[in-house]
Amino acid sequence: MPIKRTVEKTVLTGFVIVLALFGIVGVVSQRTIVGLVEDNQWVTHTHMVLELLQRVSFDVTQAEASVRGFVITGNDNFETQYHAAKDLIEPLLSDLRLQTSDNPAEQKSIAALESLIRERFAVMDQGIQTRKNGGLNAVLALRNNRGLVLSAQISTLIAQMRSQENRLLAERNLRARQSERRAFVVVLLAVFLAMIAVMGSVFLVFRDLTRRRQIERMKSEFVSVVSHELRTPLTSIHGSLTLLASGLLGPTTEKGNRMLEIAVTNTDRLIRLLNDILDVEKLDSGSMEIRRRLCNGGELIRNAADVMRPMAQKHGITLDVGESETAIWADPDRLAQCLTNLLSNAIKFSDAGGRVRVRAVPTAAELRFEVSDEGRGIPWSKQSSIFERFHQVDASDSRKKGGTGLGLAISRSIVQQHGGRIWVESELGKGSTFFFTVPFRKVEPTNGTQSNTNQSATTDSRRERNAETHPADR
Amino acid sequence: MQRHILLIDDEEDIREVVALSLETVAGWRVTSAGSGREGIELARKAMPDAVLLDVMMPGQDGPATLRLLRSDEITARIPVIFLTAKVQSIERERLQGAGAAGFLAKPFNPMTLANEVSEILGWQPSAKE
Repeated sequence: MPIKRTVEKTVLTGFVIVLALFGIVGVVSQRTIVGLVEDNQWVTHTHMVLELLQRVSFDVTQAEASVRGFVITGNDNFETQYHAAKDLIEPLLSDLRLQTSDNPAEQKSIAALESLIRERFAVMDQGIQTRKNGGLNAVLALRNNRGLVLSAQISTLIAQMRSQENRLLAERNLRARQSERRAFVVVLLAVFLAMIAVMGSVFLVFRDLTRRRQIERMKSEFVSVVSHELRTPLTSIHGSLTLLASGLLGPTTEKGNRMLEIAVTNTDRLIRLLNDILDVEKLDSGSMEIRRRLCNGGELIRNAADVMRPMAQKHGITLDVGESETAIWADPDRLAQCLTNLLSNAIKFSDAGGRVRVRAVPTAAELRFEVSDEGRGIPWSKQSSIFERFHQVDASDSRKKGGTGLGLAISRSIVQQHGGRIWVESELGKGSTFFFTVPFRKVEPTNGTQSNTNQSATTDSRRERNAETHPADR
Repeated sequence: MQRHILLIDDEEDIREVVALSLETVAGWRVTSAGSGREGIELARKAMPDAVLLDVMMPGQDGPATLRLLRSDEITARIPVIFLTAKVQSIERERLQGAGAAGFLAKPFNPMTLANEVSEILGWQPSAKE
């Protein structure tokens, strides 16, 4: 059905669009979030460099204070303090070098800072040594202000570097905030787009489904109206021809009778086709009801055989009806339709003098109906396709045998609606056996009034169905 | 026993075929009406043994005609059989509620029509002498 394809195409297109959107959203979100994380890492990194610079500055000041204390007091504790500060400065500087390895300008500043600090410590070492050798006076006699100059240079350089880092921090903070905002907008936009895509696909699918349902309803109405409109003239044609052919209205010539017979046979075929098309429509639209009640399998095959006996006699076929009294829970009218379909085929495809058997065999879980003939058989390649609509073993069969090509398709649907299976076993030149099964089910309890109503309803509908299915046999 | 049937159908050809069938095959007497309104008038005047009533008719359709026949004391007890070209079960259910004695599907077989009517109404099968 082209409509079905449209729905599938819409679903697929919608799915692909949504998937693509989610893919794009994923990639963009991932990149935005990675950027956000990087920006934040840079902010943390700047904070670390700032802290290291502060510690270097503190350490140098600490060393200077210890040297001053030692020079003035000569107390060894101050010397120990000085050496502790001196030992600390090297790891701090190497850490700083590592943290700024990405920034050549900073590396240059750190190299300058290192050499200043080294020189400053050399001056301080010299001061300590002079104090030890010549006492406080020897230190005072040095009159050296190199230390002061170096100290001022170190402070200035660290201040410069800190201000440089602070500027970087401000920049990086700004960038991080921008990234956050961008990430938020990107994700929001992506979610919004994906929602629109999902809603769009759902809308398209619903529209297609509505259109499809509308077309199906129109088709159903069309079939119903056409069938009614065809039935009315067919009723007049069929009635007049049958009355004429009966001879009740006066004698006709032999050739005239033959013509009437052809007309009656073909009108019957048209009526059968019309009924089958209506059944197929009902099966398609799901409006064919299965009205189950308790029925007797043996009675079903006997009734079907009774209905088909006139046709069998006309074709010179013997009907062999098996004995069975097994009860099943099924729609007797629909099963009768299956059985008469299969019997009608078996009779049509048997040679005169042949035998057609119908049986109902109970197995463990189901009742198996069998209709077998001694006809020409069905080639292996056609054994499953004959259950499809308008598929016959030989394309000319519908003309020669007066079939509609729908009987087996309808039978298969009916059997499937009962939860059973239908199949054929056949050997070319020896005959065919058609099987269908109806599973045993627990009988649903109904109260007396209801089952009475059902009984009369089915009797009425069977009367009607027989009239419509086999007008020629009545 | 000669039965008297009132046939109500808007299709003239079908009226003729049904009349000819019942008259020739069973020897019954048939009165025909082309509309529900005409049918009700004829039913009151002629008091037939049964009414064969078409379902789909322009204007007053089968079920409406049946309701009017039932509401009139004179015609209330005449059995009515619907003639219908619509065979869907949903249609049958709708008609069943209207109080008809049964249904006959179009196209019918003119050779067995009288017997089917008799069967629905519980009459002895009649054949022309």
